[in-house]
Amino acid sequence: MKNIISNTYSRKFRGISTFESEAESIYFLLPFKFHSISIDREVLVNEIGDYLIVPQGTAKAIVHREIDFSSNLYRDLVANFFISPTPVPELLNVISTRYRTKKKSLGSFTSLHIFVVTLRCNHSCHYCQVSRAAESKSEFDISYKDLDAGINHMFLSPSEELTVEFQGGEPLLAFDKVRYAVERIQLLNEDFKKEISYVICTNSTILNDEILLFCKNYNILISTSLDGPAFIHNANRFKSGRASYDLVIEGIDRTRQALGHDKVSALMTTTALSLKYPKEIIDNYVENGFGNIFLRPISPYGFALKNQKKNHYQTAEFLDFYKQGLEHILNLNAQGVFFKEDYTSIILQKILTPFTENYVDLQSPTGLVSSVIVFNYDGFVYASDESRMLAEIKDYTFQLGHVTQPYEELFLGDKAKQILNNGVAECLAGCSDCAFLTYCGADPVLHYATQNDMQGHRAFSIFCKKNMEIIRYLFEMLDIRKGYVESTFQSWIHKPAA
Amino acid sequence: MDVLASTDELLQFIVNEDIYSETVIFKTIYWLAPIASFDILKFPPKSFLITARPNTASFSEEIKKEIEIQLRKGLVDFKVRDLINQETSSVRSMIIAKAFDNDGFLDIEPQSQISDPIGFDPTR
Repeated sequence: MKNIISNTYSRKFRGISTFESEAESIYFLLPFKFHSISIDREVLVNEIGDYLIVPQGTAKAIVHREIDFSSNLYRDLVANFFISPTPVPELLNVISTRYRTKKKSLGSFTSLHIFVVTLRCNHSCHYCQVSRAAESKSEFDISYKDLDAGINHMFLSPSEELTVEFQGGEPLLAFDKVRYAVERIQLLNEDFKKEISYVICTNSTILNDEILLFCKNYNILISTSLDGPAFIHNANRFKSGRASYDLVIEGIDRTRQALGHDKVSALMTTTALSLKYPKEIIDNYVENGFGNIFLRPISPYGFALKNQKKNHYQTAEFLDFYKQGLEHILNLNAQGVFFKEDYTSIILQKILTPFTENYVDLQSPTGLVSSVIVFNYDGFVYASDESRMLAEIKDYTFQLGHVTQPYEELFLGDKAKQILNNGVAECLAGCSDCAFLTYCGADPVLHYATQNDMQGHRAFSIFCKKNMEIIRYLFEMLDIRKGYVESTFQSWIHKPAA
Repeated sequence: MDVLASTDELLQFIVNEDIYSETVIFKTIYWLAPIASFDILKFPPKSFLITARPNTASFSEEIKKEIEIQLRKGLVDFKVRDLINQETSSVRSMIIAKAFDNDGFLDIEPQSQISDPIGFDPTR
C-alpha cells in the first residue's frame, strides 16, 4: 500500500484526459434487467435491486456499447453496478455481500410459527377462508398433546428469532390453550434463550381484563380485523347479537389502555363492497388512531370462493382501489398526517434500501416452510396459513404431515422440497427475466389454487399482474413525482407507524 | 419480422433465426398467451414461422394489431435481455457463488493495483 501511494506524482487534481483511455471506452456488462414504466421511460434494475430510471432504449444502447464514457449516465451505470470497466468488477465482494443481504431470510429458516388453536368463532364473515365451528364445539380446539409437539418443533428451528402467532377461528375462545402455550414456551425458552415475540390474531370482541393482563405480562401484541367504517365492516364481518364494528372499536380502545397504543394493529380485507370506498376506509383507520393500513386483496382460497358475488373482483379493480387509496394516503401525508400503506412500504424497503422484508408472499425462494409454518387445530402441519385454507375444501396438497412426525419429515421432507422447488422465482418462466424479480417473490399456493400448478403461468397470474403493476406504478411515481413523493416514501421505510 | 398472413382466424409471421433465437421467440409469445395460441415452426432456409390462432372465435382488428405490436416489441426486448444474460452469466454465477460462500473458499484479492486518484499520500 505504501509503495503504491508513494508512486503518485502530486497532490493536484488532474484533468479528465488523465483518466480517459482506449481501454476505458470499452465496458463490460453486469447482470441487470429492464422494464418499461411509461411510454418514454424504462427502469434498469441490477442483481441487487439498485435501479436507474432512464429514457426508453437505454438498455439497448448499453448492450450495443453506445454509452458515451464521459457522460453522467456512464458514471451512474458504473457506480450502480450495471456495467464495469473491468471484466470482473473490482467490487465483486461488495456486490456479493449485497446479494447475500437481499437473501437474508434464507439464513434463519422458519421463524413464524402459527398455531391455529381453535376453529371456533363468534363471527360469520362471508370472506372467511376456513370453515368456522360453532362457539360451543370444543372438539375443534387443538389438543395439549399436539400443542406440545408443535412447540417442540418450533424450538428445533435454527432461527434465533421466533414469532408465535395464535390464530383461529377466534383464538381467544380457546384462551386456555393460548395461555398454556405461552407459559410452556416461556419455560422451555429458559434453556433455548431465543428471542420470542407473540401475536394473537383476534376479532377483539371478547377481550377481557384477564386476557389483557396476560398479554401485558408476556408482551403479546394484538392483531385485529377492521375493514373500515361500520357500514363496510358489519357487512363483511357479520356477528349475531351486537354489531361487530362497535365491539372491535371497544376492543381496540381497551387494548390500547391496557397494553399501550402501539400494541394493537389492524388488518383489512378488500371485498367487492370495499372497492368503492378506499378513502372512507383509510379515513376510518386515521380516525381510530392507526398510522398505517394494509390494503389487502381477498385471498382466492377455501370458503371465500363460495360467495362470489361479495368476494370476487378483477385484479384491475383492486389496482384502481389501491391507487386511489395510495393517492389519498399521500395527500394525508402532505397535510401533515404521518400515515403509510404497508404493502407499499414492504416493496419500497426492497427498492430504496439494501435490505429486504421477511414478508412471506414476496420472498424468493418462497417463504413457505422456510419462513412460516402452521400447526392446525387437528394436529396437521401446513406450509402456510393459505395452505390450511385449501385443506378446508379438502385439498391437502400443502399438508406436510402430522405434528407427531419427526421434524426432518415435516420441514425437510419430499413435500417441503417440492414446494420449495416450485417457489424459486429466479427459475420460473416469466419471472427469471423480470426486472422486478428482486422486489417480488414466488407464491406456489396461490398459483396452485388459481391455476392448479404450483409454478403457474405468469401471463395468467393475478399475483404477477398485481405486483407488476404496483411496482411499475411506484417507479413511475418515483420518476415523475420525485421530491415530495420520494421523501414521503423514504419516511415510510425509516419511521415506524404511530 | 414480416407478416405472412393476416385473417380473422390466423396470423402468421416470419422471423429471421439469424437475428432472433428460438429462446427469444418463445419468451416473447409466452406473454401473449392470454390473447392467442401460438405455434412455432422452422421455416427453411433460415427463419421461424410463428402462427397465432384466436383464443375466441376470431381475431378482431384491434387484437391483430395488438399481437403484431407486442411481437415486434417483445422480440427486441427479449433479444436485449438474451444478450445481457449471455454476456453476464459468468459474473452472475460468481456473485451468487461468493454470496453463499460461507467458508471463504472463493475469496480473491483484487486483480488491479489500489489507486490513489487524488494524489493524497499520508506518508508525505
